Amino acid sequence: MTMNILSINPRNCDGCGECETACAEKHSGVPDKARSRIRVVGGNGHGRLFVPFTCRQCDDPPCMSVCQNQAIYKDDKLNRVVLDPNKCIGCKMCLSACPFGAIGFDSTRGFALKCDLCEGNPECVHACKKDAITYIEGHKLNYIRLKESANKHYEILRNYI
Amino acid sequence: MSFFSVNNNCNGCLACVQNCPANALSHRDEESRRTLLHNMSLCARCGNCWRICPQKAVQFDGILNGAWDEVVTMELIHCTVCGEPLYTDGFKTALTGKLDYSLETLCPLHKKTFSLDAWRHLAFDDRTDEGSER
Repeated sequence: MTMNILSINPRNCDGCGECETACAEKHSGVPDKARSRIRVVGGNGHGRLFVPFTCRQCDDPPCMSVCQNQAIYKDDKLNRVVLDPNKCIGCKMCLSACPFGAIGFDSTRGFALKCDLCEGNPECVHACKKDAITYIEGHKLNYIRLKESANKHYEILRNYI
Repeated sequence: MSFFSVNNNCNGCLACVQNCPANALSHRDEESRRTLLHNMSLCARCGNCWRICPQKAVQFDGILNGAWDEVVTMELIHCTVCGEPLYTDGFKTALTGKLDYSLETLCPLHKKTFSLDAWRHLAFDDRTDEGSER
């Protein structure tokens, strides 16, 4: 249970945005998608492709190394990276440092928004009726396919940069 | 800095210095020169000097109009796709000093959009009819 990871499968995602609403509702009490820690990108120029983006809980998190007030720390128990909103000074260093653009910002309350895996019970997983977001044990992922995907991802990104 | 200034009409009568209730005005006489001094941290912004000046030399517009002072100006770096302002060059220097990879000058949304293009190939690469299920 403790070493579960949040797995995204864009094939199943239809871009309904229920995960965003659920996330905002759970963390801030209001269904304001601007405060969601997960963001669905796609549609429009991208056809039917929708991908929910959220924190990947990096092993060596760039957001943690740039934080000026040590508000971001690693929690090995749940294998996650946590942001303490009481310590966050709102400098947005982490937003710029995250290579995936996965960190949001609550401009009304003045601190960064980052997925905390809901203490091991992610609300977005419950909200997703299409099984596009699952919270599963790492060893159940197909590693060979994952590795191929990662390589392909790298090659495609390299053409842009 | 436009809070307090004195124009060329000043003839150094020191009426303002005598009448400043906060002792924020003073003067210095050195050889052939008289210099009027003002201390912003003592100033109560009451405008007494401005009212009393017989030469209309005290400029108090900054306080009366509540103008903004330009404090510091620096280079701004924008998202290379949408042009949204991201951060300043100093901010970027601070960031890159703490990171061991090169920073892309993209806003969070366009970082995701670039990943999306990669995802397109991953999600549909083994399908002949791309995304036609729905």
